[in-house]
Parts: sequence; C-alpha cells; structure tokens
Amino acid sequence: MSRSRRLWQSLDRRTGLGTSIRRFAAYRVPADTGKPVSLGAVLVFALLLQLATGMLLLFHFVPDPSGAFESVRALMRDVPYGWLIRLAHAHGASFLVAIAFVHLFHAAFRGSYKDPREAVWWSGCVLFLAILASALTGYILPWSQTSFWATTVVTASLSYLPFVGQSATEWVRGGEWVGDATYRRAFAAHVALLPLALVAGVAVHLAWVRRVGLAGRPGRRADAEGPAPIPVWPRVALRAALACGVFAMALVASVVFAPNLFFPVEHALPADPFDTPLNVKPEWYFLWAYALPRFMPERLALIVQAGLLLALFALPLVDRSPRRHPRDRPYLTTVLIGVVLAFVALTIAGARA
Amino acid sequence: MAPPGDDDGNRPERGVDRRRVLQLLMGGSTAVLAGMAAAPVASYLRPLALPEAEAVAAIDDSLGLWEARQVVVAGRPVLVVRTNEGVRAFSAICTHLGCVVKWRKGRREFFCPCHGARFDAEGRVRGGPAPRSLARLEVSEEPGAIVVRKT
Ligand code: FES
Repeated sequence: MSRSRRLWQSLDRRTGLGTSIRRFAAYRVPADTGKPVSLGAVLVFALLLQLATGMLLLFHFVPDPSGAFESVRALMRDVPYGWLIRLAHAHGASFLVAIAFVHLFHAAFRGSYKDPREAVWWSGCVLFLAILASALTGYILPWSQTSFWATTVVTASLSYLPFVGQSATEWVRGGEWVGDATYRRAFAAHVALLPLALVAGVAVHLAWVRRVGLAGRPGRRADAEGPAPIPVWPRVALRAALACGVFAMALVASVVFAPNLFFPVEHALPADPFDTPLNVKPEWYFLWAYALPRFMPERLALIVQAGLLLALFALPLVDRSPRRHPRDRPYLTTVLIGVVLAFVALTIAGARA
Repeated sequence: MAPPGDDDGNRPERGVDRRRVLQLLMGGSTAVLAGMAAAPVASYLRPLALPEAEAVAAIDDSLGLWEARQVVVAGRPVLVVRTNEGVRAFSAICTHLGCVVKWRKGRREFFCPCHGARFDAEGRVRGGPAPRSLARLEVSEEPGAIVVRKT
C-alpha cells in the first residue's frame, strides 16, 4: 500500500471523510431531475463565491460613510486585482439573485413544494428573502449617490405602512434620516447577520432536501412512476459541476467585458444628502417594486408586495392536491405565468421610467 | 427508567404529573430567560436621537425675484425662494419618498427628480405622487440678510 493511500485511510478512519463522500456519491436521485440539482449547485457555488469575495473585500474596504466611497475607488484603481474581486462580488450578487429567481419559479411550476416537501419550500423562501436582503444591504455599502438615494426611497416607502409606518422607517434607518446609523445597520446585516443566516439556511435546506428526496419531473398522473433513481455520481454530479463552470465563465465574462453592466453612472458619484440625482433607480431585480407605485397608490403597492410575500409562503397550503404536472393544475399555472409576465412587464416599465 | 412505584395504582399518574410540571417549569423559565435577554437587545437596536443641529441659517439678501437658493437648516436641505409676494422657505425634502426637490425658475415650481412630483411656489402639490405640500419654514428679511428658522 502506498504511503499516500495509508495516510488517506488513517484519516478516513478518524474522520469518516471518505465514507461521507462515498455515501454522497451513492445517494440516489430521480434520473430525470437534471436542472433543479444543477441550479441548486450553482446557487451554492455562487453563494460560496460571494462569501469568498466578500471576505477578501473586507481587507481593503473602509466600512464607514466617510471612507467607504474612496476605499472602493482605491480598490478599483490601486489594489492589484481589486477590480476583479470587487466586480465579481457586485456582479455575482446579480447573478445570484437571477438564479435564485429561476430556481424558485422552477420549483413552483413543477409543484416541488407539495407534501412532503413543504418545509423545503419554506426554507427556500427564507433563503430567497435573505439573498434579496443581502443584495439590498450590499448596495448601500459603497455609499454612492445611488446607494444613498435608493436607500432613502426604499426606507421611506415603509412609512406608508398602516399604523407602524413612521416608526418602521425610523427603525430601519436607525434614526429620522438615512445616515451613519443606517450605514452601520446595513453593514452589520450584510457582513455578519445575513451571511451566517444564509450558510445555516442552506445547510437546513439541503438537509431537508436529503431527508425527503428530490421531487423529480412531475408525471401527468399523481401516481406516475418516473424512471428508476440513479446515484449522484457520476452523471448528476458532473452535470452540476458543468453548470457551475458555465456560471463561472459567464460571471468572469461579464466582469471583464461589461464591468458597468449593473451600475448606473450615479453609482460613480459619492453620496450627497443635499442633492438627489436624476434617475435614482434600484437594481434590476427591484425595478418591479419601484415601478408598482406608478400604477397604483403607494399604500396599495405595499399591500400588493405584502400579498406576494404571503402567497409565496402560503403556496404549499393553498395548492394541496398531489398532482404536480403544470397542466394538471391549470389555474395555478396560469397565475404563475401571469406573475412572471407581470414581473417582466413591471421591470421593463421601471427601467424605462 | 421507569417512574418510581410503577406497581402502585396511584403513583405513576403522579409521576406523569411531576414530569408535566417539570416540563412546564423548564419551558416557562426558558421563555422568561429569552424574554429577559430580548428586552435589552430590542432597546439596544432602537434608533438613537441625534443631537439637535443648528436650526437657523442665513443668506445675503441678493436673492432675485423667482430665484431660489438651498441652505442647510437643522442638518436638512431647505430652499429659499423669492416670489412676487415675498420670500418663502420650504423643506426641500419631497413629501413622497424623501428625495431633494429642485427649483425650476422657468416654470416657477419645485420638481422632484425621483418620481416627478411638482410643487408650486407656495409649496402646494401641482402634480405627481406627492401626498402633501412641502413643509414650510419661518423666514424673515433682516437688513442685508434672509434668515430661515426651524421652530
Ligand atoms: S420622492 Fe419625490 S416624487 Fe417620489
């Protein structure tokens, strides 16, 4: 027996590492499960990338309204490969949100939230919200004009909530106005609270997925048997790895060839609480919410958003039939398609406004 | 382990009783402890009141008719405008979602860059999503200066 092999075996005996890997490789999933596994794997990969780049950013970033903007500028200009780390983190956030959207809608269309997978769905919803919250709080940290004014507008919109409005706004801001206290709240949430919640949440989500098994592609009948399950290794794992590779390439391509893809020009100006620039817009994934008040009063827009949130969580309770195929649940499928179309239309409206 | 005295008709029930009481005690004390920890945290996270900033500002009285100038009063932007009826001062904070409005001399109105709210020279809503007039501040013309005060 070679020395490295002996070393590995003695390690395995003490840690069970090899056994866990083998057990994972042999774990069986529905043969036709393809995309959700790959999407999930890409999400985990993207999240790890955000953690890594985020941690690296902290080595140079000055987390304070007085120094943040300048430190980001220095990071882009003076620090070797600072631009790469910073843009990978900023673009990575957009990619992460986009893939999370797809993962969520995919699960909704496939009815993957049905008995016994309700808890998986709910943990996924919480993760989704934590990802959005991370994106929102991260957008504040460079303390640019867009950071400042997007934060002002978003927090002010809470003041239209019935009864608690004003205090909700002030609580989120940490004071009457957006300022240093707001910044510190965002920073604490973005670098400590949310990353921890995300890591723990992913662990829980995956543990529950493992416990109840993957849903697989829905058949036309509830009792339809899919093809026999196959082990994760090699086909499923390799396909997931391939998807992660494609994701990494897309991210690098966007960073290198379109570094300003997600930044409006105002993002290159430092925050000025006495001057609001034209075109204050949130990032693309919040454009729909930004566009909503153009078509309805502020209050109603808030109610619509709260309703969507509620519907997201209530989905497994509302749609309880065991049938999962989209064509076996025509109403829900229509509603889902409507939501997707409305999302796209509002996003375009928000971008145009 | 079996509860003591399983052979007795009465005692097991008392055992169950005791267990129930213990469970309640444990649950209750955990809840109380959690509450005791949560209360200071909740206060800790409450917004702090900031020290009052200077609530008076002055500009020289060279302001022309239908011209406006931005000053800072109590840490917030304020617009002073001279109309044909005198000098007015308004908080520049849009009543819709808090962006800073700008004065458009040509149209004699305040304009919000965020969602396009418009206010006339008296601060009243002229169009757009703003729900209320701009907040008005006290302003006085003194020899050589215009003084704005937040009361
Ligand atoms: S904040 Fe002024 S119009 Fe919306």
